[in-house]
Amino acid sequence: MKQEIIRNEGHGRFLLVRTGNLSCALPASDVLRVVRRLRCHAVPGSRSRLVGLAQYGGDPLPVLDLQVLVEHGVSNTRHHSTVILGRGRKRGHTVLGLAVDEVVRVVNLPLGDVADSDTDFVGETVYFEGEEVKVLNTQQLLQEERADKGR
Amino acid sequence: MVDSHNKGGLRAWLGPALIVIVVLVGGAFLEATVDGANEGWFVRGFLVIGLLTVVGYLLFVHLPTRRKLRDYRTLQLNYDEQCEVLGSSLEDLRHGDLVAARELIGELPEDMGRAVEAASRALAALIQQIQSSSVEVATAAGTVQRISTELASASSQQAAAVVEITATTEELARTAGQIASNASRQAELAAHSETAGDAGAAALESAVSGVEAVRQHMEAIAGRADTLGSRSREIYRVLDLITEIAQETHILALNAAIEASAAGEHGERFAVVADEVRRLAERSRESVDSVRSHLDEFAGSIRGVVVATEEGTKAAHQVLEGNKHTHEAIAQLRSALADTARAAREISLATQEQGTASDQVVLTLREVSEVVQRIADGLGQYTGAAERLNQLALSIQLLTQSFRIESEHSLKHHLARWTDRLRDHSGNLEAVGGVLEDLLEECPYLELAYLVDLAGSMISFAANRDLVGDREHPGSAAVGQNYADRPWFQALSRDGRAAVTPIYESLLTDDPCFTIAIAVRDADGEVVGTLGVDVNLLNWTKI
Repeated sequence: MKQEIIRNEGHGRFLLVRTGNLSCALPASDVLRVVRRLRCHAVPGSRSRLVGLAQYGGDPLPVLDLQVLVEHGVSNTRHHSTVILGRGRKRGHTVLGLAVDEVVRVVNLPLGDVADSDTDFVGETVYFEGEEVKVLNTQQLLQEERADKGR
Repeated sequence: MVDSHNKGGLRAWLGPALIVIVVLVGGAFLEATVDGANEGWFVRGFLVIGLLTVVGYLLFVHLPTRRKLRDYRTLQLNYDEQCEVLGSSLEDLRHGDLVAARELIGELPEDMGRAVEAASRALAALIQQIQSSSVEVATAAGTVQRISTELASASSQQAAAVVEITATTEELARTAGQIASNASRQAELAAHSETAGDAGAAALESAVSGVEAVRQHMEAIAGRADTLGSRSREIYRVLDLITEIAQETHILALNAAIEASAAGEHGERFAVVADEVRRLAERSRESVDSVRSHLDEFAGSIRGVVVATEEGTKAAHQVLEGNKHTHEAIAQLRSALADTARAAREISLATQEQGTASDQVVLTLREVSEVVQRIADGLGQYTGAAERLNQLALSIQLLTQSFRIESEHSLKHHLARWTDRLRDHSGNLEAVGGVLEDLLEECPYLELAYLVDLAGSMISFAANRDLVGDREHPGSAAVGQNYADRPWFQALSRDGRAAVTPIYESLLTDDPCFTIAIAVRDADGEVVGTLGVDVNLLNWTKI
């Protein structure tokens, strides 16, 4: 079995997820946990990318639709899994949930092989095992969430 | 007659002459024998007495006798005349001229005249009666002949019809025999079919039993399949549980890998373990998917088996239901076949009886045919008898027509009146022709009327167009043609009496006819010509 080793030079560890027809890579350093079927409560009048609010670790957790965030379209995912994003494990740090269809695995991606850059949130696009994978800038997402909480 | 009268007158004087001779002879004898004394007295007394005797004889015997003789002569003369008249009258009667016989009755004594007239009238009445009877007989004979002819024709047709009916009945009998044979065969076939129906019913019962067993097996298979379905659902639940565990393991392995990644270099080995765990979870999930796929196929097969068994059970039910109907149909068919066999046997018996009856009918019809044929033959004889009766009536008619009586049906008397009209127009040929035409118009039974002169040459003639039609007249029917050699002319020329010929075939119409010829006399009774008519015998009853 081929072992994937985290490399600091030119490579990064990413969590490979799929939602809809998209394959996305989330920096593993921004991922706190992966949970299944996190129960969300819809928030009336919220933006379309907000799936709802869930309870995680005793705190309310906003869960966003990754497909809406990436493609700015209508979500048609089944949201089997939720990826909890955040930096640090202390209480009060910003955490955010991304609803995806499937969490595949943790992989090493070559960061220098940039195909395209769509937005600030969607970073580089790399090819992994013949498949196009969008590398997401989760830091910006967390900063925006932090900014939203500050307001 | 004169000589006899002279002889009678001489004989009347013979008596007185003898008395005178006796007186004279007696006186002479007395003169010779008596003496002288008494001679004068005796002679004188004798002469006186003789003279007185002679005178008395003359006065009392001779003169009355002479008067009586004269009366006798007168009576004798009248008697002779009356005998002559009577003879003439009887001669007329002998020739059948009752009219002429009665014309002389006035010259006969009253009693004799009445007797002759009565006899003539009785004879005329008899003749007239015979004449009318002959017409009636002829009419009746004609009717009988016509009816018997029609009956004979009808009988012949009836005999022919009976023959046809006989043939048809014979054909019917043969057909009945064929029908009986066919019905018998039909009964046998129906009996065979009934037996086959019994075998079919038994086979159907066996098939029903087999189908029932199949249905039970199908229901058992359905039960087994249902059990397998329940087991499959349990397996699905187990697979769901395994899938759930695999997914949880997968999440757990991912979180472990994330944690290992967060641990940096210290977590690399843990990351490897976590990835292995994730792989195992992945393989578990793939295995579960494979099992689920196989289980899906298995469940599909089970559902197919269930559906097939349900359809089989339904088909078995349908087969059983159909077999039930088939059983009922076979039962009805058997019943119908039994009825058919019974009906066919009855038809066979009935047709056999019909054949027997037809044979009897044929025999009866043959007898009827013979009877009808005999009737037809008898009617033919009847027709012949009627024909002979008609001929007899015609003969009687001819016989009566030989008489002349005061009747319109007496041709001689009828034609005698027409001779008066011809006499009035003698010398005028055109008028004579008109009279003859009038005669034919009044007497439609006459074919031809003609007038010939004393030499036998035809003066004028007229033909009845209703009887003759447009046929050409034969050469004998022409003005100037001589008839002196004809029997009727010769007979009439011989005694001046009307003549009737025997029956002969007319040259004009080819019909049987006879001729009556009667003399045409002038005012003095002299014959000046002959009127002849040909009577068509097909119309003689119109006389």
